Amino acid sequence: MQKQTSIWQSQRGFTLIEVMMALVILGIGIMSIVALQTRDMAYNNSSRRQTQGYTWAMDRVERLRSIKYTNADLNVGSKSQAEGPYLVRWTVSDNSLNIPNTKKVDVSVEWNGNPIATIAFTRTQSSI
Amino acid sequence: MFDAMKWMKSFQPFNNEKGSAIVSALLILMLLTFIALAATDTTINEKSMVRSEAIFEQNFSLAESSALEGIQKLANQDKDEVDELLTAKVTAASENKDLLMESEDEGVAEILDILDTNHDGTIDKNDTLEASELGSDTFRAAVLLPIDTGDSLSVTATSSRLYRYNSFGFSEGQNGKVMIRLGYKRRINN
Repeated sequence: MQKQTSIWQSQRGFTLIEVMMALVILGIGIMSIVALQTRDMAYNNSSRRQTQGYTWAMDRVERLRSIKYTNADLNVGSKSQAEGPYLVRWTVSDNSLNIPNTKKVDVSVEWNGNPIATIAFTRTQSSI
Repeated sequence: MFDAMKWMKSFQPFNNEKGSAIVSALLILMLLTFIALAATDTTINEKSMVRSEAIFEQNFSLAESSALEGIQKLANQDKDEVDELLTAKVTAASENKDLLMESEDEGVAEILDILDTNHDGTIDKNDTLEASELGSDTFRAAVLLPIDTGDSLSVTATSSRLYRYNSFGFSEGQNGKVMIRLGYKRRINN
């Protein structure tokens, strides 16, 4: 009569070929998952930078809306200000040909020289 | 004859371990794939949220700017120009490319109905409103509200007239949609 054995006592072990094949498949799978996670991390970082960039851009828009129309910051031309790792740049151009007493302002936030946020608005002389 | 022992044995998977390494590897891989897919899904959602936020900020800024442009255009007018503009003002349902329209009613629904020049229920770029120089998807309109009850109708040496406007700015860039409504009052003295 066959001897009753517990399931753990019946281990025969894996063959080398079997283990190698499993390792190759696992390796390829893990490599693609690592690549996926790396890409996710890069995307998350760029999302974070874009959110922060737009926050700084809106900060500048509000500042330029609340200062006097004759303030030097609203002189025609380009100006920039560093905010942490970002560079906030705003370009003021004369819009009086279209509407008298208005200026067009383009705000852009750069990170490592790349624009990550842009906002355009019109600054009017009359304040609200 | 039915062999009960054999039949029972076929339900003992651990007795046959051939190929179990690859099965374990695939199971682990499946688990990791699910985790990775969940992370990617979160990332994609995050990215589209940030993109929507950016589109909203840009459209909001453009709509606010065009509403303020409308107010500046009204503020730029001297008394004669105000009078002139009022005689040339446009009422509901007319083809209009100018800034100012007049409402006989103060209700928001009535005012919005005037701005909906093609009467399709929504105010959008198909309506003939004044285009802003800021962009092709940005436009503006101003509505003159009726003179308040009890307010002076004549502008003389002793009395002035208070004009009340609603200034609207719209922006529809990149499938976004923002409308800004601002109030503006201007007192015209003789």
